[in-house]
Amino acid sequence: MLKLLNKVKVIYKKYHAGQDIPVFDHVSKRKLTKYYTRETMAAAVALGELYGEQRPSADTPFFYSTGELEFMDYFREVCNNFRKTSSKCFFGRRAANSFSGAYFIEKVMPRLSPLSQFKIMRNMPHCLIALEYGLKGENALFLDSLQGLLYSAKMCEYDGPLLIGAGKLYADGGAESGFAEILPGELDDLPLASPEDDPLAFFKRISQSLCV
Amino acid sequence: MITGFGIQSPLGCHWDEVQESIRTGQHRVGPIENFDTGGFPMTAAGEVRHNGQVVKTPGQVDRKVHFLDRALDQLLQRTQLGNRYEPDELLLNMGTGIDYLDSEGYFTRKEFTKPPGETIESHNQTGKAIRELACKYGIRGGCNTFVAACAASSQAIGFSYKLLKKGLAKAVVAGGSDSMTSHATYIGFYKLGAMAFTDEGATTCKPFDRCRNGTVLGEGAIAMALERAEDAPRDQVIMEVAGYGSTSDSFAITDPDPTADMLTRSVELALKDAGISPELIDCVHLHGTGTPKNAPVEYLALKRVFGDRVSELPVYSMKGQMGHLVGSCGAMELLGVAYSIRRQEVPHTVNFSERDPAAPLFVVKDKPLSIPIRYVLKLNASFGGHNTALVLKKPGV
Repeated sequence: MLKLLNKVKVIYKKYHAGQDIPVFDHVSKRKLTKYYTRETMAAAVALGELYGEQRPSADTPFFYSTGELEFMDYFREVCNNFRKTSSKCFFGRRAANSFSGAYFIEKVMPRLSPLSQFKIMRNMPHCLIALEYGLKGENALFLDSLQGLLYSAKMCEYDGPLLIGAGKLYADGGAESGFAEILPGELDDLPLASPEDDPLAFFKRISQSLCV
Repeated sequence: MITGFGIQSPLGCHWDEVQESIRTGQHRVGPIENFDTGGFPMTAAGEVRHNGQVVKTPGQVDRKVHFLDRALDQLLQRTQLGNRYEPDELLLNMGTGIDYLDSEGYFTRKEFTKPPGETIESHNQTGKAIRELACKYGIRGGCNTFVAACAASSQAIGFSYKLLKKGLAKAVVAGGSDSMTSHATYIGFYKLGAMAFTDEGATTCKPFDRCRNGTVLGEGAIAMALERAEDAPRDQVIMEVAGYGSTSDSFAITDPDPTADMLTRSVELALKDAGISPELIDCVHLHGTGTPKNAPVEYLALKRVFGDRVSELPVYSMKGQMGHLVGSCGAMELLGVAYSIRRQEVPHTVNFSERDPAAPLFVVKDKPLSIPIRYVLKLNASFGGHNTALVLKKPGV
C-alpha cells in the first residue's frame, strides 16, 4: 500500500502471526538481521518499499514511535527457563518454592540467548533502521506517541524531507509498521494529534486516504 | 526556564540533599540492598537513597514508576504548576527504559504457564503507567514517553525545550525515570557487556580514569518544570535551556563511533541553537560512563569543537558517584549542571584518579573547582547511537 500524493510518501504494512516477512529482500546489512525483532523486520520491508532504489540523505531527521512490547523474547526466555527448571530440585529443595538470586543466575541466566538483550531494547528498531540507511540526523524515539512524532516533525528545522515512522510487535508475533516521508511544511494543514491518538492508526488512515 | 525539581535519586530525594552529596562526593554506589543478588557476578548499583539509606520496595513494585510518582508529587507541590496552568496547558515528557518484570512473582505465581498475550500480573507496562501518572496529576496536554536508552531523558528535555521555544506549549514537566535493579534487567544489562568486570563496590565505576573498565547501574526519577521565560516566576528560575542538538552515529549497535563525527555535530548544533560560540562554554558535564570506549570519543568531540582549549576546559561525570541511571541519566545529570550554575563550581568526578593518555581531559578531582560559570554544555550518548547535546545558561546572562 504505497501511494504518492502532494509529495507525501506513506506506507503501512501489517503481518499476522507466523506470516513470512521478506526482510532479506530489503536489507543490505544482512548480518545485523539476527538482532531484528519482527517489528524491525516489518519496518525494514516497509522502508524498502517506500524508498525503492532511492537512498535518503544521511542527515535526514528520523523520528520513530515503537509500541508497548507485548511479545518480549527476553522475558519469554526467562519464563521458559522457569518452566524447564521449576520441577527440578535445586540446592536440595523444590525449586518451585525457592526462587532466589542464585537460582536465577544458576538456572536461568546461562540459558538466555545473547541476542535477547538487544531485542528488548526499545531503541533497536530505530537503531537498526538508521544503520541500514545510514541515517545520522536529528532523531527522537517515542513509546506509542503520534503526538510526539508530529510535534518533532513540525519543530524540525531541516531543509528537506524527513522520516517519521511507527511500529509494534504483538504478543502472538504479529507486527505492524508505518512510515511517511514528509516536508515539515506539509504538516501545517494537519491537525496535531491528541495525546491518545495511535501512531499506527494514523499511518494506516493516511495511507488508505491517499489510495482513494 | 527550569523552575523546579522533583527528585528520587541515589544522591538523595531533595535538591539540598543532592547538592550536599555532590559537594562532598560521598559514594552512593554499594551492594544492592533491594533484591537478592546471591550468586550474581556483579552486585553493585546506585539505589535511590533518602537520608543516606536505600529506599526499599516490595518485589511487585516497579521502582521506576514508584519513584516517578513521588518525584511528580514533590515537583507539583513545590512549583504549584497545577495552580498556575490549566490541565490542557501542561505536558509530561519522560525518558525511561524497558518494562519491569517481577521475576520472583512470575516464578512463584507460575505465570510462565500462561499463553502469549494473556495479562501477566508481574509484567508492568511502563508507558501505560506513565500515562496513568499524567492523569493522576492532572496533566492533560499530552504525555510522551521517550525510549532512546541512555539518551531518553535528554531527548525528553530537548524536545520540551523546543516545544516552549516554538510556542507549542506553555509549561512542560520533563525528565526521566528508570530502574534496572531487578533480576532480569540487571543481568540483561550485565550481558550487554557495558558493566565493569571487577566488582569494587563504591569505586567500581571510574569515569575517564586510566583504569576504568566499565560502568555500574543506578536508578532514579527526576521531574523538572520547564516554563516559558514570560511565565516563569523569577524567584524560582534555576537555569535556562539555551540550545539543543541531537544526532545519530549510525555506526554500530552498542559501540560509539570512534571518529566522534556525530557527537561533535550534536555539540555544534546545540551551540548554533544557543547562538553562542564555543569560547563561551565554561565547563562540560560529559556522559562519562566509565567504559573504555566512551572517554576517548568524548575527548575527541571536545577536541574538535574546542581545539587546544580542551586541556583546560573542566569536565565532570556524575556516574562514578551514583552509577548509570540509563533512561533517566540525562535528567539526573542536569542536577549536576544546576549545581555548577548555582554554586559556580565544577564538581569533582568521584573515583577518578589517573588521567588516561587516550582521553587527556581536564577532569576535576578531589574537590570542586570554583570558576565563573555562565554556560554549561551537557552531553549524553546511548547504545543505538543516539547523541544529545544541551547548552544550559545561568539565569540573567
